[in-house]
Order: sequence, then C-alpha cells, then structure tokens
Amino acid sequence: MMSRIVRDVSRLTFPLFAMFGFYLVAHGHLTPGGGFQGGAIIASSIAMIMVAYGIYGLKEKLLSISELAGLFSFLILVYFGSHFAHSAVEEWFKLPVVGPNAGHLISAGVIPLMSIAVGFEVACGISIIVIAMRKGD
Amino acid sequence: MLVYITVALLIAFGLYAIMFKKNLIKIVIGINLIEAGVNLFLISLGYIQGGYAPIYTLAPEGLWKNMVLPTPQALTLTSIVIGLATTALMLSFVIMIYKNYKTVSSKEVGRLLSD
Amino acid sequence: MIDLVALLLDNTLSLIIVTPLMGAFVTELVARINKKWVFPLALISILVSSSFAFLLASQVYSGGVVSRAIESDNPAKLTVSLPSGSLLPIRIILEADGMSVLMAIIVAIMSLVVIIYSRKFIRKKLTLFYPLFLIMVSGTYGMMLTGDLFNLFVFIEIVSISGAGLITALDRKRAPDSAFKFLVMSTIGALIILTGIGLLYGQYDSLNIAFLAKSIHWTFLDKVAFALMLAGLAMKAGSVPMHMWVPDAYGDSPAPVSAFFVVGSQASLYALFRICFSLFGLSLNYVTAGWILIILGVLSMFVGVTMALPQKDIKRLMAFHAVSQTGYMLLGVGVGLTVLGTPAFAAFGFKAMEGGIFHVINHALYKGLLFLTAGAIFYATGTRKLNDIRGLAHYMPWTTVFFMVGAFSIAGLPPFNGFASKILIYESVYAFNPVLSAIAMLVSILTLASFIKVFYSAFLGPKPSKKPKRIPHSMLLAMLLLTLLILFFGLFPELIINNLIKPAVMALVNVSAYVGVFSGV
Repeated sequence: MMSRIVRDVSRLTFPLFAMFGFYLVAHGHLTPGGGFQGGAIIASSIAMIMVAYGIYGLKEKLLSISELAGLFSFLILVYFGSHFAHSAVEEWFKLPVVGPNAGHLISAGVIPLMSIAVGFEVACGISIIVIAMRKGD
Repeated sequence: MLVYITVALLIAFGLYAIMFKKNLIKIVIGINLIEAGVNLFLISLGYIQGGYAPIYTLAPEGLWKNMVLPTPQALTLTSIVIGLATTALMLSFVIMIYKNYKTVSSKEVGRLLSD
Repeated sequence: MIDLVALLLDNTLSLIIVTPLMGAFVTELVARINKKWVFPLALISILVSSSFAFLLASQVYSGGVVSRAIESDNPAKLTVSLPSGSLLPIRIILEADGMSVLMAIIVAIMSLVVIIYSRKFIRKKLTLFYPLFLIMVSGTYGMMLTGDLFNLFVFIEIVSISGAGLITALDRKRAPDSAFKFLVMSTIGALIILTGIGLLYGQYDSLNIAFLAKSIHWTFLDKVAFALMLAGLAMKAGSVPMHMWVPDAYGDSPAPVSAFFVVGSQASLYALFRICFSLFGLSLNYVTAGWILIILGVLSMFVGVTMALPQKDIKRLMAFHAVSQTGYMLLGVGVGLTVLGTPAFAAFGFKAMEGGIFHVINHALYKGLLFLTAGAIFYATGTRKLNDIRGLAHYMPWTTVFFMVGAFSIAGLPPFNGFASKILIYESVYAFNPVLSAIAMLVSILTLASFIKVFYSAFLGPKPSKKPKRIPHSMLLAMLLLTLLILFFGLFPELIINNLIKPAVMALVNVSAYVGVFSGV
C-alpha cells in the first residue's frame, strides 16, 4: 500500500488507462496499435492498481487459464481466417484491398476478433508476470 | 541522418552501461537501450519524410505511394515483443539473484559459485 | 484418407516446427488439470516431430531441396512483379536442403533421448520443464529449416529465452547467475545479428536468404553486415573470444538440458555456415572468411582444452571440452571454405568439410552422452565435484561403460565415432597446413588426458562408504541409445558419410540449389 496521493491518482486514472487500452484493442485494424499494445496498456493499468493498493489477490490460476483461452481462440481464428485471407494477401501489391464498409469499426473480417484475442492474452500474461515477480519465484 | 546518430548514441550508451555498470538492473536497462537503438534503426529503414501510417483508410486519397513501408514496422513490433519477454525474464533472474545474495551488485554475485 | 496423407506429406516442413510448439501449449494447459498426462503428451509431440523430421529427410534425399511458403495455397507463387519490372519475394519461406536435414536429424535424435532421460531426472512436480523444453526444440528446428533472415533471429531468441528458463529449472541457488549471464550474452548476440539483418534489408528490400544471395553486391555495408552476423553467431555458438557464457550455462543447467544445449549451439553453428556459404556464398572473399573461421577454430580448440584441464566440477569440465570440440568443426569447415573454388578443394577441401560436418553430428552424440552420464553421477551422489566422488564403478557398472564410450569417443580413439571424423580432419588439414593438424592432434591428446583424470577420480578407487542412489531404467535406456548410435557411427563411418554427410556438404558448396528456389528471379 502506497501513500494517499498515489492511491487517489491511480484510482482516478485507472479508468482512463484501461479505456485507452480497450480502444487500442478494438481499433486494432483501423489505427496504429492493436492487440499487443492495447493489452500491454490494460496490463499496465492493472499493475498500477496492484502496486498502489498492494492488492495482489488476483488469482494467478484464473489469469493463466484466461491467457491460454485467449491464445487458443487466436489460433482458432487464425485457422478460420487463413481460409478466407489468401486472395487478399496475394492482391496486396496490386491494389490495396479492403472488405465491406472499410474504415468502420465492424470490418476486416476476423482481424478485429484476432486482435481482441491477442489483447486479452497479453493483458493476462503481463499481469501474471507482475504477480510472479512480486512473489519472486 | 539525425536518426542514425541517435541510433549510434543509443547503442553506445547501452554498451557503456553493460560494460561499466555494476548494478544488474542497470545492465538490463543497458540492454533495453541497445534494443531501442536497433528498433529505431529498423523503423528508419522504411520511413518516408512526411509519409502516412500504412493504413489504407487513413491515408488521403491518391497518396498511397506516400505510405511508409509496413514490413519494417512489423519486424520492429516482433522485436519489441521479444524484447519484452527477454526483459521480463532478466528482471526475474535479478529478483532471484537478489533473494540469494541480498544485493544486485555484480561484484557480489558469483560468491556462491566460488565455494 | 489419401487426402490427409498427401496433406501431411506436403506440409512436413511446417509441421516439424508446429508440432512441438502446439505440444508446449497443450502440456501447459494439461499441467493445470492433471500432472500425470504431461510427460506422455510431451513424449508424443517429440515422437511426432521426430518422425516428421525423418520423413523430411527422406523427401530431401530423394527429391532435392524442399521449400514451402507459409500461408500459401500456391507454393509456386513466391514473388510479385513490381511496376518497375523486377520480381520481389513476398512470402516467408521454409527451406530444407541436405545440410538443414542433417541438423534436423540431430535434433530429432537428441530431443527423443533427452525427453526419455528427463522422465525420472526431472521431479514430477516440476511441470514447467516440458513446455519450455518443447518450445526450445521447436525453436531449434526453426533455426535449421527457415529460409528467412528475420525468422532466423526470432528462432534464435526463442531458443535463448527458453534455454535461459530451462537453466533455472532445477537449481534456484546458483543457476540464476548463469542464466542471467547467458541471457545477457545471447540477447546482445541476437541484437548484433538483427543489426546486420537490418543493414541487408535496407539495401536489398528482402529478408529471404535465397533472394539476398543473388542480389548481394558485396558493398562496404554488406561487409559490415557479414562481420556483425559472424560475430553474433560465433558468440551464440560458443567460439572462443565470446565463450565465457558456455561453462556457466552448460555447467549449472540440469544434465538433460546441457545435452540439448549442445544441439542449440550447433544450430547457431549451422546458421554461421549457412550465412558463409549460402547467403554470402556467391560474393564472399573465401580466403579471408575461411581464415577467420580457422583462427576462431584453432583458438577455441586450444583455449577450451587448456581451460578444461584444471576444472574440478565435472560439468564445467565437459562444457570447456564442448568449446574445444566446436573448434574442430570450425577448423574443418574453415579449411574447406578457404580453398573453395580452387583445385585444392577437390584434393582435400571437400574432405575437410566432410570431417567438420561429420564432427557436428558426432559431437552432438558423444557430448550428449557425456552430459547424461554426468547427470547420472549427480543423480546418484548429489554432487558434481570431482573431489567428492570416487569408486562409482562398484555400484554403477552401466554408467561406467557409457562414460568410457563417450570419453574414448571425444578423445578420438579408433573404434568410436570421434575417430572417424577426426581422422578426416587431420588428414585433410595436414595437406593444407601441417601446423594446424599438429595442434588438432595435440588438443586430442590433452582431451584424452583430461577425461582419464575424470574417469580415474570418479569411477575407480575404493568402494565409497555411502551407497549411491540407483539409476532408473529410463535414464539408462537413453544413455544406451546414444551408446549404440556412437558405436554404429564408429563402425560404419563410410555408410554415414556417403548417405548423410556428402549431401550436406554438397548442399553447402553447391549454392545454386539453395538459391534456385527463386528460379524466376
């Protein structure tokens, strides 16, 4: 548990950080950023709360199972995505190819889902690293 | 040109930290500096002055040729992820070393090795 | 059904890498449900990937270079044509020729042996070991089969991160120091390699080894890139000026991990040869590069063995010998590279390269066996210090025999495989430069002296008062497998050289086969 100032500031900024992370994850196919960066920001907001309040009660087992869930959903999405993505990749150099409603949040097929899966996995993974380092083993 | 000078400086500072600092945490920071230098170098390979992010919907109509090359950015992202894993692992080792020796100075580390 | 078989045969190259990787994730998941299933699952994924490796070997030996683009239904379409009229490769490709297949066979054998050995050696509770080991196996395969420079960097990092994790798998007291040192060294090495790759990418807009080999002009920046990659890979392979991590990393890791670390270093050695012969093969100044390899090799041989002589810790001693044996491979291949393209190559250069590359596989086998016997000694007595152990032959007859086979083999005594490759190196290097050959023989004699010391102090002498622990059958089986292979390689060297080594040397020397994947370029 840290001082009052640190606790209050981190409590106030936590929603902003987390929201920015979720924004990056959700807009991974539209703007620079994506699953990894957004996930890292979410994880750093979680780590900030953990350090400021000294709460390390998050269940490590739960986190690691959700990390593996994110990983497996990513792999499944890759499998499905690779069946539809070939034509788009091959055409890359001829003309930039975009699917239906380009530039909107719901576009680009499975890619936003993939970046959500990655964001989930990265957020859980980095939280696990922080907790494990705190425990020191 | 400025980019390459920055790259050289970052790598030089990193090497200096690794070679002359005794604190293990500072050695980890040195490695991160080198990593930052190499990543900056990779990014600069595909950069165009006044270019746009390589996203089709963000670049203005007809200016797709001005998009920066996406491949070095993908490479750099991979390299950053690897760097994250390396840094996390190195810091964990430093924590383990601290538990054994109660210090993070490389002068003291190795005490257990000699006996 | 037929479709499935055809699909598997078509994708052998990527399946070799994917199987252990998926196995790692699944074992990690299963470890949270039931710890009993972890070992069988790990064994199955190693078995599957090893059989894929042998399948790939048969494909390559019958049909030449196999290549496969990732994420492509149409393997033929590797390039796109630019508006300017030139072709540019777009895909990440995996590529296997005789040399990569030889290395893949080494990984297949060693990973199988190591996982059998680990069943009893690694405590049941320690489920973290298997996922990490599987990731390391996958990374090692990847380093050998990739045809893309950036992928090479990624796989190098995978091997070093999982390797550093494995060093601390059993020992939490001394191992973190070694693991930290190893990780710092290998990260710097990998970043140096990445800088070299970046220099090449900036000039030629490609990361593909085969494409780059055709377009390299040997400018000043190319020379810098070559020097950077050579330095980084020599550091990772444990050659002498950058060998300080080797004794710590090999010495403090659990014995099966040390045995596999040998293969990991050899993967870097393979990458070194690949860079010298395939990537820069069309443009390199052979004499300079060859002499760099020869000097590195001679230094490694000599410094390694002289540092090994006074060691008191059995595994540190073996680690220094690993440095010294790496020198033989560098010497053999370096002599071959120096005379490449001259009439002398047919006279003795080819033979020198055969010796150097045959030594790679022999070294993996006997050094693996020696590390495993050291692990058995540690398992039985709980110590690695030579001063504290004696008379083990009374209680551990099998381990004694295995150790003798390994020691005679590393010293290059006739019926074993070390002799078969060392005699090739001696003969051909003598024709090149008698002094180098004399140094190689001297190092061999010193190696024998050092191992006789270990044998005498650990296995001979009066019966120890404390009865050592019995060695489990799975560990004995793993060591027996390696011993049989060593004897087989030693008794029928001609068979191995004609069927495995010659295609590997041909693959390295004959650059056009590897580069020819982009025949249209």
